[in-house]
Amino acid sequence: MNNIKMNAAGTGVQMKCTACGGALFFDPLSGQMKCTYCGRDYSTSEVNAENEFDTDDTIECNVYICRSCGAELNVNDNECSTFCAYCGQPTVVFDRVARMKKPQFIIPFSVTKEQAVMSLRQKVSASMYLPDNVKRFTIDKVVGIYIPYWLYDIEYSDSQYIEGTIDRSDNKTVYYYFRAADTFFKNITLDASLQLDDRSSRLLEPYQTEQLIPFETSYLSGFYSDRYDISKEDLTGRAVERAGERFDAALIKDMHAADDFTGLYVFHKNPKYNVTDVKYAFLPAWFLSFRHENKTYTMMVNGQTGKIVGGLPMDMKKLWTNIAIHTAFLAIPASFLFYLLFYSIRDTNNGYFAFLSFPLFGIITLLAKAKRNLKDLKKSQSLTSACGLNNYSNQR
Amino acid sequence: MFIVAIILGFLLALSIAMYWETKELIKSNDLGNSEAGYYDFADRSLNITARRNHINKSEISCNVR
Repeated sequence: MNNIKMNAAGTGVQMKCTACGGALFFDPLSGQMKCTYCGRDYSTSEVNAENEFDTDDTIECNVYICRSCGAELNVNDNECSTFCAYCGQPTVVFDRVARMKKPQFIIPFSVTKEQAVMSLRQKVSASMYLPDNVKRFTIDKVVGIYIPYWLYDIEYSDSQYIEGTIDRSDNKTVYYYFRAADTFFKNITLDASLQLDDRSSRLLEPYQTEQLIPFETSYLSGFYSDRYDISKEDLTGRAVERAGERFDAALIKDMHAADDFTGLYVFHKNPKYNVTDVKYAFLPAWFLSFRHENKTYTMMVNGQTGKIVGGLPMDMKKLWTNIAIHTAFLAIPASFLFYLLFYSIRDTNNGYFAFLSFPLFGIITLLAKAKRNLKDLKKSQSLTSACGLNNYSNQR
Repeated sequence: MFIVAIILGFLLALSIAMYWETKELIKSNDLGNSEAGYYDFADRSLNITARRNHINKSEISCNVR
């Protein structure tokens, strides 16, 4: 990702209070520009009218490079960048002044930095499995970043042959169905940055795109922003794929309304689509980083809805203690139950084998599910840890 | 019989506890993953133009070809 910041030395845009000359920043609470010194409010259109930076389709910005993870940081307000928003390291150096394409639309931040930190604290304090020192964590860095997105409008239609299995009291019947449907998908969001992992951006969603407004440069003040490094043409295939997934899910839902299927299988489809419009937009996200055992964790918060994304570190000791306590409580009645059942079938031939297979199957299934849960959490932690973000930046 | 019942009881208790605790762990530590990834926007405007149930397999192979 390429974040841009206008600095105080005269490079890039400086938005100043007409009353006291103080720097102006966008305030998510009021939705207006606020002077950091005298507190005076300005509307964004008023600020844009005062400045000349909205006259063409590009914005000038300062590009910083992170020597640790390779991220490019674009800064859009009156300060210099001193640390990397992605890996949290203070290893950024000024690289160049650049011009980035201005997005057509933006969803301004409506969640403040304080609200983002507060909601993360609430989540953290409710967690039973966090290491104690993480519960009292101090946030190292909080950065608001506008992530570049392509928004696709797609007309989609398909005709499908579906095989449906209905299982009713030992009578298994297979029927065949035909469905044809069309729909219109408005604003399918796909992040246009290589730096941010697709899984992370997808988890940050949904954004309420009905709140999109035309872009004004003043919204960037006080935040980092990013410019796209994946073209809209490159992402069209993924947008269509997403449209197809949602279309199929909706059609299957309609099938389930028709009958009680035990299995549904689409064996023929004939999708047709037409991408009617693609818009370039900036969508807001907070990146909060903290350190635990010499490792930096970066959590993300949707800057519009406040949804928190990321895998928190876990205390294995607490997890195993809880498992041991619950096992101890459950083992006594379970053993007693098994003993009673064994006792009741002691005279039947072949009863033991049939009887044993059911609990063994249950045990193996539950253990496999527990293993998958742990694997899912590790995957989320890899998105959150600095190493994970480093990997993504290496893709550049 | 008694020993087998104890072993089975212990294993079942352990697997239930592990499943339950890891599920709770995911809920409390894996933030955002369990929530919806995007709007179910297709549901709002899906316009079904043809709906045929219980059709013959021979008819399908004809059309699919």
